[in-house]
Formats: sequence, C-alpha cells, structure tokens
Amino acid sequence: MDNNKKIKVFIVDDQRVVRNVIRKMITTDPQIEVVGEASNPFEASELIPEVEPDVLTLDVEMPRMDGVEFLKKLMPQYPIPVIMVSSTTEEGSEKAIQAMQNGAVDFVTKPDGGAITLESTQEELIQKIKNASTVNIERWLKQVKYKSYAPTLNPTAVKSFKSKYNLIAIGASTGGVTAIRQVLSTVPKDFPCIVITQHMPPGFTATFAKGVSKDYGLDVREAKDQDLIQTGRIYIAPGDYHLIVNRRNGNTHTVGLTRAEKVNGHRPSVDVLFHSIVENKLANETIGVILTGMGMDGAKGLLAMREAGSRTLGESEQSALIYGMPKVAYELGGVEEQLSLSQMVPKLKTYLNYSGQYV
Amino acid sequence: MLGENELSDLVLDSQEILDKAEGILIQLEKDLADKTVNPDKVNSLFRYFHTLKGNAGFFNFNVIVNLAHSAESLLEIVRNDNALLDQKMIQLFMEARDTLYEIFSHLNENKTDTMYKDKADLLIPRLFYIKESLKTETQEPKKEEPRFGIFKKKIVLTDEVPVAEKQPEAVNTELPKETPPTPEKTNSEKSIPEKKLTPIPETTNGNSSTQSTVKRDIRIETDKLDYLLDMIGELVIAESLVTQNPDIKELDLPNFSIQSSYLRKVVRNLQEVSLQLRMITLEGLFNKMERLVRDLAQKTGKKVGLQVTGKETEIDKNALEILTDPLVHIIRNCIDHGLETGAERLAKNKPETGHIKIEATHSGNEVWIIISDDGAGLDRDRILTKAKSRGLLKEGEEESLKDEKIWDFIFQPGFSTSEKVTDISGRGVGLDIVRRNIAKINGDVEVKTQKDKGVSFILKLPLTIAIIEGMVVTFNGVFYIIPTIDVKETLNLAESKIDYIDQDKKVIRFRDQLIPVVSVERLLNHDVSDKNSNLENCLYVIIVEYKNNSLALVFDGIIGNQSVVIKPIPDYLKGTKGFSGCTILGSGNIGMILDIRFFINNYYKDNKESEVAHGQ
Repeated sequence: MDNNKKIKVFIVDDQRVVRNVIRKMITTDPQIEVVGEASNPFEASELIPEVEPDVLTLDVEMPRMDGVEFLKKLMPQYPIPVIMVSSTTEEGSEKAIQAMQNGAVDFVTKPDGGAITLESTQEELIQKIKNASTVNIERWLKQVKYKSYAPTLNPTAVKSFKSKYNLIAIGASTGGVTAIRQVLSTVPKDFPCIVITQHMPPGFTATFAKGVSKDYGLDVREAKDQDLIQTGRIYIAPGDYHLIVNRRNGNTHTVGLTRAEKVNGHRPSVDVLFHSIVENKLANETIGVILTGMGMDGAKGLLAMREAGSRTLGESEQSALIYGMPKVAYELGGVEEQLSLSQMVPKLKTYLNYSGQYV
Repeated sequence: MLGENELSDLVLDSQEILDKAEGILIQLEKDLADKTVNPDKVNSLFRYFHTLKGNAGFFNFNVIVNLAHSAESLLEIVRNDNALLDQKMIQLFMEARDTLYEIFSHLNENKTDTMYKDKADLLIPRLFYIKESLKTETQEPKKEEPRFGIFKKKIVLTDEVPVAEKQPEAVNTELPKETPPTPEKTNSEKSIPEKKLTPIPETTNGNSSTQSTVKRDIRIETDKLDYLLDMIGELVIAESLVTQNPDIKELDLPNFSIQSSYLRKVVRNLQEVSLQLRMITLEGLFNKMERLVRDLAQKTGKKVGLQVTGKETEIDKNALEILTDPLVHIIRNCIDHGLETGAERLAKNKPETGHIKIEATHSGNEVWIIISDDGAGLDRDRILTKAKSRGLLKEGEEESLKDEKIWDFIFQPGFSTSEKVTDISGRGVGLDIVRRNIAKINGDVEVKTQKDKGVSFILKLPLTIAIIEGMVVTFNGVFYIIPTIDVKETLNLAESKIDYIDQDKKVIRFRDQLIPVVSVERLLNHDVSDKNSNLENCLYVIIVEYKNNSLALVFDGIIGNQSVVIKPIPDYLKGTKGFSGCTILGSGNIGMILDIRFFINNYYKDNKESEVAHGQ
C-alpha cells in the first residue's frame, strides 16, 4: 500500500456512540481516515459503493439485520476486508466466529469494563485495520473452500495405523479461523493429535472449537491443562493462555496451559507452543505447520523445530490471507515446503504415511 | 481521548434507550397480567441493556456496565423461557432502569459513575440471586437445550453453500453482465467503482415490520435549532422591513413588487418549514405518563386501567417541555382524589378497575390534550365550602354561580379539598401551577365533571408558540397586538356609544350586555384613570372575552390582522405584567402582545374585591 495514501475505513454500527468512539479511536493514527458511517446494513449498502472504502468495521449485533447476515450478502457482491466488532458475550463470540467463516478478515472485542480496555481495543483495531488493508480479499475468498467431511471407510485399511509422528502443531493468526477450518474439514478422525495456537481472545476459542467439532464430526476441544495427547484429539489454545506440550513418563504426553508473559505481543503465542515441543524433545515426532497471519509469531519456533528434526510446512503466498508469519518462517529457513491450504492435508498424510480407516 | 462531546452523545442516546426500555417494561407488565408475554419485547429489553453495557464499556463506566450486565444476564435466561418472567422481575428491571437513568442524568457533570456504586450494589445481588435461583430450577431438565440451540444455528449455516462457492453464482445473477467477476486481475479496483450493490431484501425477523424504510435522522443541539428558528423569525421581520419600507411606499416599482412578492413567498415557506422543525410527537411524554400511572396505582393500591390515544400528535417542542409538570399534577389528582378505592367503586356499582384516559387531538389551530377519569367527579359542596372559607365566595352567592365557575375554584392557589395530605397530592399546590404553566404557552385549561362519572381536564394548547395570530392596533402612538383567539367583536365607535356610569366608569352596550370599557393604559397601570379626554380620539372598541367575562378595550387605530413572531420581552420590561411577549412589525415598530386573559382575570378579581370592600 502506498505510504502516502490513507487507509479509508467505513464504520457500520447501529449505535451512534460506538461509531463516534471508533472514529475517534482509529483516526488517532495518521494513516487511517474514516470515509463514511452507517447505522444499518441498508444505509451501508447504499454508501459503500459510493465512498469505496478499503476496510469495513462491522458491528456483529444489530437490529433487523445483524453483521453476519450483512456480510453474507455483501461479500459475494462487493468483496472487501471486513473487521467485525463484537461484544464478549456468548452470542457475540458465536456471531464473530460465524462472520470469520463468511469472509470477515478479523474481529475485535469491545471494551468490557474489565481486562479489555478502551486503549487495548484501540491498539488492536488500528493494527487489524492496517493488516486488513493489505489483504487481497477477492483472491482469498476465491480459494477458501470448506469440504464438509463425509468420512468414507477405506476397505483395505489396517485397524490402527502407526506413524513416526504423534503430533501435529499448527500456528495461525489473522485469517486463521478460516484457514484452520479449511484444513480440519478434510482431516480424518484417526489422525494423530493436533494442537493449535490461533490468536484469539478468551471465549471465542471455545465457540470456535465447538463449531468445528460439530461441523466436521471431529473431537475439537478448547485445551485444558493436563489434557492427554492422543489420536483423534484436536486441542485449541484458549484465549489468554499459552498452550504448551509436556513430556510425561514413557510415551504419554500432555498439553499444558500457562499465563506467562505475552510473547510477540500475543497470548497464546505460536512460538511458545513450538518451542515447548523442542524443549521437551518431541520435535522428531511432530509436524509443525504455520498458517496465515500478520507479524512473525511462530517463525523462530518453527525454525527451532525443523532444526530439531520436525517436518515443517508453511502456507504459500497465494493461499494465505496475510502472508506474514509464513513468509518470515520461510525466509528464516523454518519451512520445509510451502503449500496452499488445500494441499496441506494430502501432504500431512504423506508425511504420516497414513493408512488409516478413512479415505 | 473521549471528550465531552462523546460523553454527551452517550448520555443522550442512553437516555433514549432507557425511555424505550421503560415503555417496554410497562407493556410487559400488562402482557404479564394478560398472560401473553411477547417474546419480541423481552428480546428488545435484553438488547437495550446489552447496548447500554456495550456503549458504557468504551467509557470505562464500570458501575453502569455491571448493573446493565446483571440485568442482561437475567434477561438472557428469561428470553429463552418467557414463562419465567414475573412481576417481581419487572419491578427489579424497572429499578435497574431508573438507577441507570439517574446515573446517566448526572454523568455530564460527574464524568464518572463511581459514586453510584453503592446504589448499584443494592440491585446487582438481587438480580444475581434471581438469576441463580432460576438457573438451579431450570438446569436439570434444560441442560442440553441451550447447547442444542447453538448447534442448531450451526447446522443451518453449514447447510448453506459456503461463501467462496456461492460467490460466482451470486455475482453472475446480481451484477450486470458487462462486469464479470475477474478476481485474478490485480488492478481489480477498476471494476469496483462501477459495481452497485443490489438492494438487500429486508429480513422479516427484525423486531418491527413497520421500520422498513430507512430513516436518516440527524441530531441537532436544541440551542442551534433555537438559534436557527430565531434567525428565521428575524428574516420574516427583515423581509417586511425591506419590502414595506416607507422610503419606497409611494414609488411605483412593478418589477420590485413582483420580485418582493416572490421573496415573501420563499420566506413564508421557510418559516413554515422551520415551524415544522420545532414539532415533536407527544409519544415520549405520554410514555412517561404511562409509567407514572403504573407507579401511582401501585402506591395507592388502586386498580387503574390506562388508555392512551393520539401519541403521534405533534406539538411545539418548547410547549412539550412546559407540559410535563401540569400533566403529572393532573394525573396525580385523578388517581389520588378522582378514582375511588376498589371497594367504593364496587359499592357504587362501578367496575373495580378505575380508568384513566389520556388523549391528544387536533382542534383547529390548537392541540387538545384531554385527561379524564371515571372516578367520583368533583364535589360541588366541598368546593363551595372551601371557597367560602378562603373568602373567595360570599354566603349565598353560590346560587347565582354557574357550575363552570365553581369548578374553576380548584385552579386557585392553595385550593385543595382533599382531607388528607398524601405524598402524592393534597397539599394544595398543583392545579394553580397547572393553569399558570399552560398560560405561559398561551394555552388554557378547562375542567368538566359529572358526579360519579368522573372528571375531564382539557388542556388547549396552541400548535406553535413561536407565532401568534393577532390583531395589530394602536393607542396613544403605541402598537399593541391582541391574540385573535381572544377577540370577540370589533366595533366602530361611530356606530356604538359609550355610556358613562360615573366619571371613571364607562360601559358599552353589546348584545344586551353592559361591558366595562377600559383603555390599555388603565389596565397596565392602575393609577391612570380614563378621563374623558383620553378616550376622545378613540375610534374603535374591541370586545375581548375569556371564560364568559368580557372587556371592551378602546383603541385609536386598527392596523389589521397578521401572524407575528413572538419575541421575549426585554429585561427592562420584565416587571410589567400584562404582556405575553413582543414583536417587531413590518413598519419596524415594536408591538406589545397583550395578555388579554390576564387582564380579564385581574379586572374581575379587583372589582370583586372592591365590591366586597364597599359592602363591609
């Protein structure tokens, strides 16, 4: 993006107060300008083509037509990077996750009078608007495909297959909700344990896990301390906790949660997960994957894993919503092979020498 | 980062939301009584608290956030099972709503909500307690249900074609053929500007089907609006100052006349539009009254049914502000004094539930607000006794008094017939203030009553209080305006004759009535006596009437009827009673708007007092 050109933002929120506050928050950044506002999707649909914004901030909950409904109608007609603005309630998080599955790039949470302050929301929103403004949304939307997994039993399969690899560790940030969904949509139930660190606030991770679990018939859980690493389990790092992997006696391993300092500005941090695998000498039985996201979280960790014997994959530039984390990882030498999302699971199967029950 | 502007916006919007919440709560209470709770209303209420919480969060107003959150959490349970809603909860929501309203009302000065922490902490545990008790009650059988609800939504979602696959299809059908989707080209911005979004069909699952059109409202500070209206008033005056300027009066200016009449038309239209800007509906005010009726009914233990019509009627915004207190006074009176207790009503063969009706209608250039009850009606005997004891009436005088005059006593200061003073009413303040307030906006109050059938208070208000239709007259070189509404007849003294009762007392015969003749100067200043000489130049008499009392005012000239813009009286004249305002006439002269009703009331009161004095 041209440095002299400001990022044009359009705000959709039914509350005038919130529009005012958002405008004030983001225009403190000299690179951002607000080109329009609307109090409902109907107004927005008239104004957006007129003012041609670069990024849209969209309230999740609105009367008459909520943000998700609007997004579903907007994106096919007028693809634009959208950042959802959500409350931290169950309903809010559910809708925010839905929005991510329907083409929203990212979301922020409104201040809740507690840990989420005006300042933290402001910082987050500005950063996410900048990230979103770099996205080629049309290309990304075109390649996003979920396959609703219909497990087909493999007639020639052995009852239980053994692999050198017992663990798959995935790290992602912006765009990750969609990317992880797409990867998991073709993961067989008898894959080794998958641990995922996706940058997301508390509450949202549980909703995300529940949704994926239901949609693809997989055992996806928000990780709890001491949960066992076992075949078929998929653990997602809960918001505000680092997810790590611990070696127990023998061949059983567990996941662990810590509230240690933020790393690379994130908790959960992908680097923390990846480094824990190396520290516990599990690298040679793990496959590391880094997906879309701004910044460099996970890049060093992936390199460390590769150096300690892991197979490592990175999302390719044409596939990633934001080719940031995978790029840094690749340039550091941490990525063995770059792949598009649709090639991820086939490649994992090759690495695993998969001969499980499902095709 | 957030300053006073954002804060005052927050306060305004939140108060609006809380007003809506109040309306919904009152409706829910009725629904509850009828056992037909509308889930949409519960949902709206949930949204209101949710929105308040969300908005206040940006400002770090944690007391508000916590209180709204407690109400929201309880409502979250109730909206999943409306049968759980009960009267106690509504009362609690009402208290939460009131507390929030109080906090917001003082937020602009306080800048923080911390001083309300204790108050909120009284409510939060009560809300929490009910929530927890409901949770344990409903947890066993319902444990799976909310979860299922979530999943149900998800299934629906995945049944749909995912976004990316839907895209080409949607684009093909909804975009013109000449702009086919070419997502791979890098300068895709080029094709975007031509794209127009196809209109999004309205979803029907919203909370109201009548909101189908998008209203683009903007908010304007009332100060700015007042200034605008003021300036347009000035423009109207300036326009006539120019077009009727004495310098060009004698000149033959055909082109100027054509253009100036066009200017006049534009200015008049502008004025009409500006008057429209001042008009707001009575809805907010009436909603407040619904709440008042509800609270008073609870306090007095009387069963009260309320019927409200004409909420959509519009009235001048300044009039609306002045109306609140009078309405409150009247409704208090109706419920406390007017309506009998349930037992009394049953004994009178009336339904146990008393009824209050509030209605607003247009009547010519006026808006009428009628508040009626079906209670005991005014007690003629008690009013007469009270009037006598206060020296307003002499013994035996009541025989000649019309009923209307008797009812009129209740508008006297300090006049209360209630035997007990309650904290609702009965201190004898009220109805006199009602009349005074209504008079401030050139309105009037009437009362009608029938024993055991009830009382009706009729507030007659001018549509606008910025402009008045008036008759412009002159006396001794001063311009006066008499509101047309008070004028009964205009007489030419060449045809009518003034009779002299004595040196200082003149009357005129008009339709078999002798009407006192006075000059404005005499009315304004008691020391001036209307000597013969004063009236010699007078050519006209204008008969004015108010409440069946008439006066004949003498003038030396009548300029004509016109609508004049009311301006406040300058400070140095504030002490003078008898003017309701002033205006600037087309000629550039200042015209004083006469408060005829004040004159008539005063004249007849004074004369009665002097008669009483003479009698002793």
